Amino acid sequence: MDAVVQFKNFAKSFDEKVVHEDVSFEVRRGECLGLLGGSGSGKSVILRTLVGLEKPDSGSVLVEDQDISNFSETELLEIRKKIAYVFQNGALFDSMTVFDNLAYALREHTKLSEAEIRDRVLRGLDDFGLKGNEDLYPASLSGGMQKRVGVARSIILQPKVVLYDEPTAGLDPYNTRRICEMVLRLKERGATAIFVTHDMPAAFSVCDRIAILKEGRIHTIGTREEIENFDPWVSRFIQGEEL
Amino acid sequence: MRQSLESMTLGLGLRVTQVAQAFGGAWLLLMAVLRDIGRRPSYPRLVIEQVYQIGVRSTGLVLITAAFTGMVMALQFGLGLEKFGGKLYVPKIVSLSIVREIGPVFCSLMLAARVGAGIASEIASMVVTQQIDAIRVLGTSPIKRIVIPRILGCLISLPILCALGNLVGIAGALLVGVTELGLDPYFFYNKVVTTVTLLDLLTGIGKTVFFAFSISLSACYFGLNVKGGTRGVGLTTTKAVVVASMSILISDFFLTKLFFVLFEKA
Repeated sequence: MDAVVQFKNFAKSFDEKVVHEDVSFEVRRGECLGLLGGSGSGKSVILRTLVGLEKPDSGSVLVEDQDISNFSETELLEIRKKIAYVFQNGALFDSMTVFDNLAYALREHTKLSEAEIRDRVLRGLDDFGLKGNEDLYPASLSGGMQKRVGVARSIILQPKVVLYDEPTAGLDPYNTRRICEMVLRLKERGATAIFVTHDMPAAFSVCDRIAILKEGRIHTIGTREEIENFDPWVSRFIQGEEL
Repeated sequence: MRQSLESMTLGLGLRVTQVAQAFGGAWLLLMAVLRDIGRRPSYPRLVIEQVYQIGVRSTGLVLITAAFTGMVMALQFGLGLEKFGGKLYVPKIVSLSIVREIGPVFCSLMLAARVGAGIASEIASMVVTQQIDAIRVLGTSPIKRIVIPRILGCLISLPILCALGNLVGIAGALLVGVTELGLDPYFFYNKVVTTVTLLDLLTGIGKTVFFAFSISLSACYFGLNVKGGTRGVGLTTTKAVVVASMSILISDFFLTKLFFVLFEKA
């Protein structure tokens, strides 16, 4: 399988704080890669770099063999149309209704009529149990609902690559399952994904492989069986024991 | 002694670096705006919305400020000049002051306070809640969707507000001239129209184009570069208003000088 996303010797620091020293990994086409690590290990930084919100200090970041490390904002616009980013807190536009939040990308990047957009948006909301909330503003929604609207907005263009930044954090078990089912559905349609999470059951249910970040590097990467038996530190990390 | 000198030098160096960084950042933002302003897609609806938010919703504030400034000026000049028998010069002095200086500057300062603060805090909040990141990630440009409509909104609104403010300011002065100073309204009106020239009007309103640019650009720049969460939003808002107000007052001198050189009067 060919690689859709590649990180090669990626390094990133914020002022004095070194977050990534030398990160190298790849995500294969159609694969869902779980990205795990302690808080502050830089999981979100990897996702943000992939959509050009952060620039690497050194190393390269390739999306479909294009090195995007030094892309300008204009060049990144094209890359961002292929990649969906599910924000940790939804990042909904608070001046727009739920409907307009979902319709945003469709109005910007497609030539669909308003009737077709309405149809797509309502279907998207229905998939996440949000039908009937389309005229509400984000401030009127609960945290979990905002999160689901955020996921629905991100995937409405049916992107090739989806980056999930803790999509199940703060959700009840039923909605967590719903999100996991949606990730699997998108995977069946051929979408490649990186799934950042602290939720082990969710990671194991949707990810083909899992990468664990430690001290600015990929500590281990592999299938569930491979990483579980990698070393005692990983076992303790997975079990949620003191490290 | 040496230590305090070192820390003073360090503090000064840091401050100079911050100022240089702000100027450089604002310059880069300006370049990005000029590069993107003619490129598709454009968002005329967002520009109209901003004209409403910036212009229409500031009308009351600007007109009240202008009316009372005109009234106070007429009263002060009237009472002051009366001692020397110069009360009749009030229409001339007040109308020229309003049209050339007080109108454009006060109107811009009011807008810097209301709109500059509003734009900076709105954009800063959007940065803090990752809405600006979301705009970028969804394949769109915050320069086009957020910055350009606000700059154009300011550029369209401020000259119009200034023209209205000039009118209301002079009307306020006329009211006080008639009621408090006992001047004849036709005399006041005639003095105003024979004193104020088209060039006075245009140079005054022309200044507001520069002021509009500095208000909106500094508000957008500081808003986009907010640091430190919600506390940073407050600091950013203050910074945007202070910088816009200072730049209005400082550039007013240079613009007056420039217009004087260009048109041999100011």
